[in-house]
Amino acid sequence: MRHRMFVSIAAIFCVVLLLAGGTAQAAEGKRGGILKVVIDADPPTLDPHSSTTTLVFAVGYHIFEGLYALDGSFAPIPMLAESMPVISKDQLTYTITLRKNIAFHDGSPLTAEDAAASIKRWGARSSYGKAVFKNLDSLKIIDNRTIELKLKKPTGATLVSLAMPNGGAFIYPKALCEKYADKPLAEFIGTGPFSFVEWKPNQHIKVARYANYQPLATPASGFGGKKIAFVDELYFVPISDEAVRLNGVEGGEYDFADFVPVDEYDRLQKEGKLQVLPSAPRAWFAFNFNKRAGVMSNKLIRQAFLAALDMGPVMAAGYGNKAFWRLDPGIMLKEQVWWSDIGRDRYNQADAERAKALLKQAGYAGEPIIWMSGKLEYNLSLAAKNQLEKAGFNIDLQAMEWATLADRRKNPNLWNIFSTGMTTRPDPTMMTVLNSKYDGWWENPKLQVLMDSLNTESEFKKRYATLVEIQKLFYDDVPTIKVGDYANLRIAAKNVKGFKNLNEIFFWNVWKD
Amino acid sequence: MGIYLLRRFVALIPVLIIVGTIIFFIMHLMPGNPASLMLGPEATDEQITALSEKMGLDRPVLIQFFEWFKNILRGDFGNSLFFQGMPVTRVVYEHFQATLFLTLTGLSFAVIFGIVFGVLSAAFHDRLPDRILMVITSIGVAIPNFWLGLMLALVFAILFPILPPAGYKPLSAGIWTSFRYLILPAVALAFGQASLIARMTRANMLESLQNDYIRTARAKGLPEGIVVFKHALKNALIPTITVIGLSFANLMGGAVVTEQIFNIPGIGRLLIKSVFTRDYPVIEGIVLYIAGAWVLVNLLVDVAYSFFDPRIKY
Repeated sequence: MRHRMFVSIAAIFCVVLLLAGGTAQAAEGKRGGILKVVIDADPPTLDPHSSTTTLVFAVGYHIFEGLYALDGSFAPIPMLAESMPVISKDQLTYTITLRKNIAFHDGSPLTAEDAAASIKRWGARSSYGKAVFKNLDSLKIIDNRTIELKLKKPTGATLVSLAMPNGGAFIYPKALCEKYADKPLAEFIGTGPFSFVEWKPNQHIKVARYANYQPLATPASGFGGKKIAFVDELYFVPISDEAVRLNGVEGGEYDFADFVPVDEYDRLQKEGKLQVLPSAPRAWFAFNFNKRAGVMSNKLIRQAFLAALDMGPVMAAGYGNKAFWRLDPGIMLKEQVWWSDIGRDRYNQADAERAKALLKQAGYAGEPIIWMSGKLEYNLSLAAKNQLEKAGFNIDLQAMEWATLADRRKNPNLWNIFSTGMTTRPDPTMMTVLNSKYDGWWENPKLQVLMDSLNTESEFKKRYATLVEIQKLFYDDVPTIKVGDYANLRIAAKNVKGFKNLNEIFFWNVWKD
Repeated sequence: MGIYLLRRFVALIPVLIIVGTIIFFIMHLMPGNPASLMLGPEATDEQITALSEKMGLDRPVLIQFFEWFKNILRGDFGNSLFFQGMPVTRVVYEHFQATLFLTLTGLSFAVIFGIVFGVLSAAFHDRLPDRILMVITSIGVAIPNFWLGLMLALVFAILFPILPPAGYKPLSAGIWTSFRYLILPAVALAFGQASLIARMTRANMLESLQNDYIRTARAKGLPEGIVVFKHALKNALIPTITVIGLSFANLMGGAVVTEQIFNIPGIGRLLIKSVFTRDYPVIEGIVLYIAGAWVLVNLLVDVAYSFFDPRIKY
């Protein structure tokens, strides 16, 4: 469902790399027409509180808005909030005032009651919301346009969590929050530039311009700022086969497609019939170890694994065209303020002799290592397997579809390694790989101390220093192997204008000539 | 005939029970949790457990089975775990239309061209038209339809953009609009089937044309067209009808690959999507529908035999 549907390269946020320039004014384009966008699968729901799958917000973001959104440098900026919150001196109280005269698609006005009910629901349903609510002392309605969040202890991640595109605190009418308190929304009423029209499973999701939308005056930036729905109607058409996605746009049936085979890049560039748009880097490939049980719970064997790998050929085998991947040791992407190359001496060693020595020191006796991989990462894993076998590893590489892999990896007795994609987040506290509960279970006590510090500190310099320490630990303890960053290929018809090629897609401020 | 039909309908019940039971247990024994797939990659174990409980997936499989079976007896096939909890019958119905039109269009092409080419081949036995047609039909049988589909889209939608490369429009969009979208997938589907039907028809026609009644018809001075199409073809069609019936039943279960390549929202694509998302009620509903379609189409084929061969009576 790339599968990919179910390859959750999920997410979002914000490494927002504006290939086309960091901040862009929503140029005045041409109104009218229908834009047909191909996505790789039907989303499981359109309720961003209920799922962090990329597709949920890729569609939902056009319908719903949060109090804050992430800008071109993935910092929170006001969206439905009138301004940045007023934060008390002790960093514990956030007072948020809503913009005036905002109405939902059903005509009802946006009030503090809607915002409070939505945040409450978000806290109960979303992973990010749950994390914020663990540290939430109270949520109060001050007046018709103002709410107040009071934290138990200061943290630097609250605003980013509220502003996250996937799993962020989107605002719904209070009545919907109450009606769908314990289940995903089945009615989709928001304040976004497009309103929901229909969802025909396996055919399309249709949204249409919301005539009463009140755009911000601030310039468009990242996922925020001024938004204008230029096209009358926007169709999201699910097509799981990448060749069909490509044919569909080449044949003129659709206007835009994401996740097109990167091998087609050179041909499409040469022909020049379509806009060929490599996305910003959005994630990195990873080999994640089972640290709780089995042979890979031995740190020396994990270090040997890292020592043996030559990342370039692995990325080339798995992802093809060099324009779509790069080697880099950072657990945060190079474009983020969080990036560091600490550990570069351990990354991409390609040293089979050192790996052999480490394996000998670890007492590895050739026990089979069960390695689970989905379709997307299979070639990559296969290339790595060949290198590792030369260093003395005994690899049992097992290909399986995503649902099976996602299920099996919950049981530490069934596997030693799995391949996956790690989407980078705007804030390191949100990085899956640093979560000790994430399958693979990196339960190093030193990590816990560093993560506590990262969670409670609010000054950037100190937080950055802590993250550098974490990355150093990452290359010493080797809970996961970072292979390399990757981007994907998008194509658009020549008459599609205004598209901002960030790490994730959206179609406000986009028009057809 | 009435009793025969009744008996066949009654025989459908154990088929559906057996098929339903097998598919239920196969699906529930497969690894994969729909709750985890629905919640997305950041979901915690607690969230997954809570949603599994809400979906009733935490209960013992046997209890889930008996409940499902009890509901089936009441005509309730359950609700999709995805598709916003829509009833399974509605989900299947909404995908049925596309599959039906694709099947009817593809099979019409296959039957028309298959029979005409088969008859021509037999009529020109061992001469140039026969040899050309046999080469074409050999290619048709051998060629994978996913490749043919992609080639057709490449040629007729991209190099010479005269037809849409993918997609589907319901009849409500207009007959011609709807048909345009079905031409390429129907040809991709029909080429292999037409080839099979042509080869089958040719073989049976050749056999039929050797019979005494054909010699008699010719001796009576009947025109060759009447001899071939009325006397020989009608008798040669019985085995061909079996092939057509099997193709029809097969396609009604969803032309999985063709629907995928041309992005047609039919039963085949629904089945694939449901398997990947572990949407158990929909998978079970589709499999029961496919089993029912097979039995009913076979029944139609048996009834058709008696039309073409009056000696067959039920």
